[in-house]
Amino acid sequence: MSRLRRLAVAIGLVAAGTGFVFLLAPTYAGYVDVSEGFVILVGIVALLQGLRVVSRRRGSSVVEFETPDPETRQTLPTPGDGFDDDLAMRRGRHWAARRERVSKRLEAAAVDAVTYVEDCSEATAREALDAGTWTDDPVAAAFFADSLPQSASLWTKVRETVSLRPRFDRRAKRAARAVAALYEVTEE
Amino acid sequence: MTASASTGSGSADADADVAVGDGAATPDPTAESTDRTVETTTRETRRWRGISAVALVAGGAGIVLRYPSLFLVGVIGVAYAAYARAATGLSMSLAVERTLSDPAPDPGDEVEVSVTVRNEGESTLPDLRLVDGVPDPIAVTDGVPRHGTSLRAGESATFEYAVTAGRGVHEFDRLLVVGRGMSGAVETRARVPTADVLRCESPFEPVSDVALRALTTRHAGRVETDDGGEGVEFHSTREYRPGDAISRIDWNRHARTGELATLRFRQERSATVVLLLDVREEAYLRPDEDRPHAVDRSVEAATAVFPALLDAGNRVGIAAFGPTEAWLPPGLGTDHRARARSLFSSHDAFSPEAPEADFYFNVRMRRLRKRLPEDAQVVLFSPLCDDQVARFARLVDAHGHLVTTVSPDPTGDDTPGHRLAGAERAARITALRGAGIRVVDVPAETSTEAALASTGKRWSR
Amino acid sequence: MTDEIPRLPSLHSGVVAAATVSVVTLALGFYAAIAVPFGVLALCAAAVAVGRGWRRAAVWAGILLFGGVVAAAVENAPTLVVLVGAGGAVVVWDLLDNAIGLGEQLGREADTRRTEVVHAAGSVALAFAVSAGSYGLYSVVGGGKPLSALVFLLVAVVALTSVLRT
Repeated sequence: MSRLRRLAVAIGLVAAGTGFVFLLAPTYAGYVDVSEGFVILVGIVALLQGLRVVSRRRGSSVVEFETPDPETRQTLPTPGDGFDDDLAMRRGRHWAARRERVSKRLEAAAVDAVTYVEDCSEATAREALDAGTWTDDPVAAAFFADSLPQSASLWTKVRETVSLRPRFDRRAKRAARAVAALYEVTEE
Repeated sequence: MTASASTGSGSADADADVAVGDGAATPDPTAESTDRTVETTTRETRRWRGISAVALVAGGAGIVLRYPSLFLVGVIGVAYAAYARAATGLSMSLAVERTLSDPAPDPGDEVEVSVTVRNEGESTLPDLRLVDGVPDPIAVTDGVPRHGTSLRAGESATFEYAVTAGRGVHEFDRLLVVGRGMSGAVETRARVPTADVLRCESPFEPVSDVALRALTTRHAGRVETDDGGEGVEFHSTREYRPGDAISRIDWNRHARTGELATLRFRQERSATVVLLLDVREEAYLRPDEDRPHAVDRSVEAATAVFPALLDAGNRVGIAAFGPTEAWLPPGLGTDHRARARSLFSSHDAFSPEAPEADFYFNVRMRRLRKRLPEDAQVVLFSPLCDDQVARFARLVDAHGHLVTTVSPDPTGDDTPGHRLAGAERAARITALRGAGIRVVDVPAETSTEAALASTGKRWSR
Repeated sequence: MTDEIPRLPSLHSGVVAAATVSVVTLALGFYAAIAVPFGVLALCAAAVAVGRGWRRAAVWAGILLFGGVVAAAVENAPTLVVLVGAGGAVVVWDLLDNAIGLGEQLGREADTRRTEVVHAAGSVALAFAVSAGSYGLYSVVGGGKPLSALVFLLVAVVALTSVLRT
């Protein structure tokens, strides 16, 4: 304990003792006359000290032991999480790279699926993708063909123009579903 | 401030008597081992910091403005500051007992856990926060493994919860106790060691013959050969040559014609099969948090296939395809079966938790090639959700081993990405089949038995 | 199966804290209407503290209620009411903060009633004992309170708190 703190403790104890004596035996209080100025000074010092204590509290935070989550298991991924994450990302540093990844992955999967279902060559499959003839879903077809096929209904065209969600996302999702549908139909 | 735990009455292994705190406990020299030591830490929470501002502000304002009631409020501030200041670290002396409704359940069974904590000390513990050390790979399915209570001397509290057992030997971690005094200004943390183990082994029930046919039509079993020789089933006869065993002489014919002929039986040869489990981090996949992951399902399938192959007279071995090495050379017999069983339930390579170590494909591939007996056939268990494992299957096939893949399907169908991954997996399976590798797809919620049986039927048609 | 347990404050302490705020507000409001808005704001802060588990909201609930107490004291509310109100303000913060701590360590789902009750009992008992004690002393000493005694006591508080850091 530093000398200053020891002094503060001594002052505190003496002041407390005096205060209690005066309180219980008011006659002694008559010997000490406190001026108005002293009272206000002490009051203001107390208020300033109060402010200091508050600001110190603001600067510190409660420290508690942290407890683990023993009831939970390791979180494990589901295949395809990466694709969903890439799609969910709207902006950020690697936005363009992620978009590119989504396109490449979809294209590879679609080519595989079409060659398998149609039993055709890869070149033919790519032609089908470009022409948008590989699926019945006009929105999915538009992902590779870049525009809605002529056969798309007016309603679909209107919805494509009006929809608030980004075109790329919408088409990518529909294309992913369409590719999966190709397998589900034939797996039976 | 570390005190040892001493085994209490010695009644049960699961009991842990501990005494912690400043000098309250004398370290017990008979303590079993170092890991039964209670670690304690005490520190101030600082939550009461700033409480004296109440006294200072009320007192200062009271005296300047001459409001006696306000000045008196200052007393309350002083009282709480003293209340907080007076707090010291708790000396806790606790006896912990954990009971499991079934210490050796089957995978998927629900086990009820009940934890009783008794205050063995002299003083009241006003604020105890308990967190049980549920083993990591185990999920709590009912109740909460946490409890907040306060215990007078000699009093005890119990809390209960239920877990769903997963394959493996799971040791319960220490019980975490955070104790506080009345004001909560000082906190003491203790980690109380316990010795409870949940031993959950695969039942090791073989799949039926029908199911096994999916693996044996081309593969294993008593592989019948067209070579005549020693065996059971009659094949043909040939002229006697000196040196033929007397037991193989066709005595009927000798009686009839006087000629000596030797019987030839259909030669049988047991096959060698190695079960290869894909346990790379990439194989730890599941369609959602409630369902078992692909490695658990692979192990489940392998533990059903292993005894079936063994019963059919094959030499069966086990290997892991992942960062941790596991290898059981092909063998026969009861001992071999027991070794396999313990390997599946407790070897690190087949841990229910995904590995963190790095995996080097080429290194692992080389070692496997060296180890696989030349004539070994391989049954690969993998979710087939990446291209590396497909490449692996083709390489093994190219090295002259017959490869059959049993593939638990971990894909979901709730998002476009999950569906796409399902399609990619289907493409991978198609490509493997095109390369002459058999693939048994085991969809979610389908047992290995059912998947194998239906595939076996299709193949034998 | 969730990935994270909900580490939100327990509701029991929250309900007791809200009840304390209401009672103190009503008592103060009976003598000084100006305390009521403070009480209402304190109630909102308490609700945020319980709903979100924000420690700062718990501190604000205490400060606002304390503000109401000071306002009532300035409006010459009875000394006992002011004392009980001040004790109540500290208790409200203590209950909320303790509930948040419990929530962070054990989560809302855990059964923590017993420790909450014990903690609340300790805090409330202290508030009542100190209020009653200081009010008793104040009544006994009566009108003869010399100002110098109070000044010395305040000096003592300033000097000792600067050392004790609470």
